[in-house]
Amino acid sequence: MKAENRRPVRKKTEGGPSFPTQRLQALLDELISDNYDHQKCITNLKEHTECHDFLFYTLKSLSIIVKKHNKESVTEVYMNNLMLVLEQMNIPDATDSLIVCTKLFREEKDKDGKKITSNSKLNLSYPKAKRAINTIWNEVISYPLTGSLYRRCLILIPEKVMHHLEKPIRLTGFFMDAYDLGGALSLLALQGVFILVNKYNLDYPNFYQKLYGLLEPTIFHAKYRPRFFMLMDRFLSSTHVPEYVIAAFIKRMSRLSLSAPASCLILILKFIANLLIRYPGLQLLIHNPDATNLEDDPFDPDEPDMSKCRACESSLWEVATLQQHVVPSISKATGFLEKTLPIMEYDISELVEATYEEVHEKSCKLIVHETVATTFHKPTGLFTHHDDKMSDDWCVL
Amino acid sequence: MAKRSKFKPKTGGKAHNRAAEKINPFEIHVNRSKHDVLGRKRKEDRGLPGIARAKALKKREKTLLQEYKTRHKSNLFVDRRIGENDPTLDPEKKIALRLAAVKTKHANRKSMFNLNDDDFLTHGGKTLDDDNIDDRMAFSDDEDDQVLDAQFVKERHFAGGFLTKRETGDEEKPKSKKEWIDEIIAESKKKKAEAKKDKEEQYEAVSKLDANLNTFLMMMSGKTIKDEDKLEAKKNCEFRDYDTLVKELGFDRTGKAKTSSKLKTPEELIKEEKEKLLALEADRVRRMKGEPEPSKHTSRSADDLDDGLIFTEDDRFHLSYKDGAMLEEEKGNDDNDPENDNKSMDEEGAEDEETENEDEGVDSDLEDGDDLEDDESDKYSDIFDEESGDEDNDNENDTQETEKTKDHSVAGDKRKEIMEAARKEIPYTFEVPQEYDAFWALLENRSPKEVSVILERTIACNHPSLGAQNKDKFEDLCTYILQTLNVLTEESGDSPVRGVPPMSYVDVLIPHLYTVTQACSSGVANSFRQFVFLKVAGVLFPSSDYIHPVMTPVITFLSQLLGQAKVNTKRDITAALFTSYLLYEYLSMSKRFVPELPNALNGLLSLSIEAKKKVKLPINPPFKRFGAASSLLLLENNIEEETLPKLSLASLNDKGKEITDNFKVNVLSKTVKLLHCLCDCWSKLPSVKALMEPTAKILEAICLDHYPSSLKEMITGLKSAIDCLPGPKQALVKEAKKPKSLKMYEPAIERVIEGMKKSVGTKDFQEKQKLLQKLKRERKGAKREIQRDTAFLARQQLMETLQSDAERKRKVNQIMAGLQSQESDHKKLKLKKF
Repeated sequence: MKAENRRPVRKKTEGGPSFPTQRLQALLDELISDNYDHQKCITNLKEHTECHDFLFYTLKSLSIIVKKHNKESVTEVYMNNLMLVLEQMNIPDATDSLIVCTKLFREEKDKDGKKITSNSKLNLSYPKAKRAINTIWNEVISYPLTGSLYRRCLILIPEKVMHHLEKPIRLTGFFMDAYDLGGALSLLALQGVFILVNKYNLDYPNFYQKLYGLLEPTIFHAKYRPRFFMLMDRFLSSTHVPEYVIAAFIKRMSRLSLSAPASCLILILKFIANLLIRYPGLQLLIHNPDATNLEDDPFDPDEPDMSKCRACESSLWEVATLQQHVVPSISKATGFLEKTLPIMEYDISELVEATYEEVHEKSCKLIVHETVATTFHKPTGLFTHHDDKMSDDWCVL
Repeated sequence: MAKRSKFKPKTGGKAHNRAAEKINPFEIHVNRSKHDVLGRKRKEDRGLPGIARAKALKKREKTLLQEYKTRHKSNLFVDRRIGENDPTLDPEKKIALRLAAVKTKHANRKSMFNLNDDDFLTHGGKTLDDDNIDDRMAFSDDEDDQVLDAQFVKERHFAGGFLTKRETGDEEKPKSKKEWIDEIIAESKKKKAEAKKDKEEQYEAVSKLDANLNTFLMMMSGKTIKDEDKLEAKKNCEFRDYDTLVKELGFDRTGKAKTSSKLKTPEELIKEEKEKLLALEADRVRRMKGEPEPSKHTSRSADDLDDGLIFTEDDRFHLSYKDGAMLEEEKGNDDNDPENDNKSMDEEGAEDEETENEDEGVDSDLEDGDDLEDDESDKYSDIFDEESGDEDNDNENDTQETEKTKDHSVAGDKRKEIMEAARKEIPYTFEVPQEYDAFWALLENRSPKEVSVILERTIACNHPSLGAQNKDKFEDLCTYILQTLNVLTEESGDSPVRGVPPMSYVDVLIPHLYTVTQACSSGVANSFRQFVFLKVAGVLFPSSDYIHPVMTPVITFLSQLLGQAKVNTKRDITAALFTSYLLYEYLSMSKRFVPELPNALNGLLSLSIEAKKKVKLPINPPFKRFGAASSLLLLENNIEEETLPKLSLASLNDKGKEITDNFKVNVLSKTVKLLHCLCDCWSKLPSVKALMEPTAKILEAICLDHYPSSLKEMITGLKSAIDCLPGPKQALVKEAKKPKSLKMYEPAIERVIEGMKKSVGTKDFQEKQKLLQKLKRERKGAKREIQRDTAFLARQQLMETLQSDAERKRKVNQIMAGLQSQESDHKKLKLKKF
């Protein structure tokens, strides 16, 4: 397999300016097989995709392969292989593609010891490549995708592919389908939608509503937590978002903090503080001398509509509760309730990946002084000491 | 000198007074004032220049002239004999004064080296007088000076001598000096003789004792002392007195602080104890709030109860009675005596050891026999206390005291039997072993009670107050105990004695661990960071502190456990419940908040709900809505009313037991109970209602059909408690800041007084001006004085020159006259001849 893998390089050097398209097509056909997982070999392709001529011809032949392939007989292995190949390719931008292409190609030649100046004969054009990409991806999103493939697509498309497509708006349907699947997928889908809204003028009124719906207790245990918070920070940084939406988000987050793990609490608190700094009008949530004689918290956590959940009339009692949190660093992070908010926002990029282990390690770093405080009631047993609450229900044996 | 003479007459002689009154009006010089102010008295409006000049002249004659006259002389003779210059003194008085002066001079020379005349050197709270040092053997004769009694010396030598005597006793004829001195000498000789006699007697007695001891030792050399001997010796009253005396002496050495505390009544002691605890509690509350320490006062720890006992060289430090039983102090003191004697001997070095052992061996052995009873009974009473403590948990120190005394009287007989058996096996002193294996070997084949005794003795022998190096040993000991705990509580934990469950040792180890922690908290704290014994940590360290090097990591670890550990088996459920209980215990004092705790309890509750019902319930990870282990505790059969057993720590170690219905009910009831406790604990938190809402929802979903009625009641109780929780009454308001006051300057207040020259400038400047003016005036005055001095001297020199000239002239005249008469005589003779 490896030998087969080397072949394009060899062929290329022999063939000179004319690229061995036939051989490459055969190779790719073999790699993207229906029933065998070629993961190792495909990852080896990566070093070759750095040469743009190889990349160009790969794209071309891929588009042919994808077109030829029967839609009904798509297997998971096939999709995996295809996706892997696609992930290997780092398509350069349109502006500098030609120049860089030729240059790289020549260097490749130099390396092989044959100094043939053949720039003029190359016909690597970006429009052609773009066309190839479009055909490939149009096919890909029309396939039925599994969960993990969906996830890979959703990561790959907004980051690498989207700006090469002719009509990105076409992806909206794809993203919406992904959102409806729930969980981490909906979050990743939202990222794509956000880019569409932001750059391609997509009018999508329910965007924040959907984001609000994603805020569930499980989000703190999800694998994509850091990405989610970074994205949410970006989504909410818009100046055109109405205040009631932000208020609802703040209140929802603070409500979630009552059941969030200790590792996320600092992040949540700093996030809330950042939002309050961004929207000074919302500081009513932490300082509202007019609202007295309340019966209960006016905020309705079960209401999915942000305009009806009455978050603006509420107050951040949850943060006040967290002032009593056991971990000292968390209870200190609630300081913005009493002190004036800073002018600069907090940097949350380091906090998004905090784990329980880090919290524990940090607390272990406390220095033991000579005068460590100890208890002052002599115990007589494990469950029989001064302020024991467990002896009613627990015994040693 | 002084230009302005004083008009006020001197209070001295009357003649002077009269002279001052009759001042010649022509001598008065009046200074004319340019602007007369009515009512103002001026000091310098008149002067007496003549008188002033005469005064100045007189003064110069006394001082300057004298100096001038002796200007060529390098030495001079001053008569400093006392009373020689005073013609009013009569000769006897003169002599007395001189004698007194001589005595004081002597006294000064001696007292030069006395640091403090009033304070005496002390030792063990007693003055170091001759009375107290009876056994001091002053065989040398070169200390004769000190033979004179201090009192005698004080009376006769210094206290005024016969001068005072004469003043007090008027009728007696005063003794002459010679009589006086004779008396002194006689007295001192008498004292000297007495002292010598005493000394000899003492020496004789000591040498006799020495001889007796030698023979005694010879006699005893072949024998070893057995227990029966000791008992017999104890009965023998001859040594009782000696023993009590030794005890008293030993007790005296501890200083005055103890004796004073011993005099207190039990009520006072209890009160004091309470105050101490109150102070410690206040300190704990301060730490809970995370406030900084109020003063620079560095308390060793929150539990520094022992009044600096560690720092004193008190060998009789005893551990089991640290706080409570001051009444038993004496007993406790004696208990450790034999051990401590041995210990102190070890420290005194190898050379002395042998001889001392010989000397003290007899005594301490006898003592041992005496003390054995008390010793044993005390040690075992501890264990009994522990047992009774197990039964009733809230055994406060106050009550402990009374209980102990009860124990002594009631269980005395039984104990003696057990004692006899155990005493033969357990030695009294233990070294801290070098390795853990050796430590384990010590405990092998011992019952829990014996282990306790061993540990107690080890601690007593190696307490840090007995030596600095013991601190390291204590840290070792701590690690050993923790390691032992680890072994005991492991799943396959082996027990020191076969058949005895290893967990039964845990309770025994805890109090000793506590004692070790008290003695060296930082060492233990350090080792606790390595293996976190979650529950033990809470026993030893305060859980309510805002931040604590041991407890903060422990609590974060507990919350991590609750937040991440998945619950799949029976053991997991028990562990989760245990962790929750533990966390609640640590939080209950400070009422701090941990989100993981209600989360985990909600999850535990949800385990007894059908999977179908759970779809909309707020169940958070690590618990799952669906899956194999999601309904572990679902009850399917009806359960009758049953007593629910206590959950045991040991059950954490056995895996994969069947989940019985009883267990299901038990877990549910415990969870509900804990949630109820949490409700109460956190009722002051502002969003407690929102916090408990999920719990209420889950409780609603639990199907109560199969459960016993008591559990149903508990659940409805919890529901109503959640319903009654107060919602937030008021929106958050930031604390109003104090208005910032404007910056103010100091008010410029000037003193304006009419008729005075206005002074300008700052206070310092004015002061300086004043001083400068004064300096100028002084300089002027000094200059004038110097001028006058020079004038005076010039006048003096002129006078001397004139005088010497006149003298010369007179002498010349005289000579010339002589010559003339000679010449005339010669001429007359010549005329006669011719």
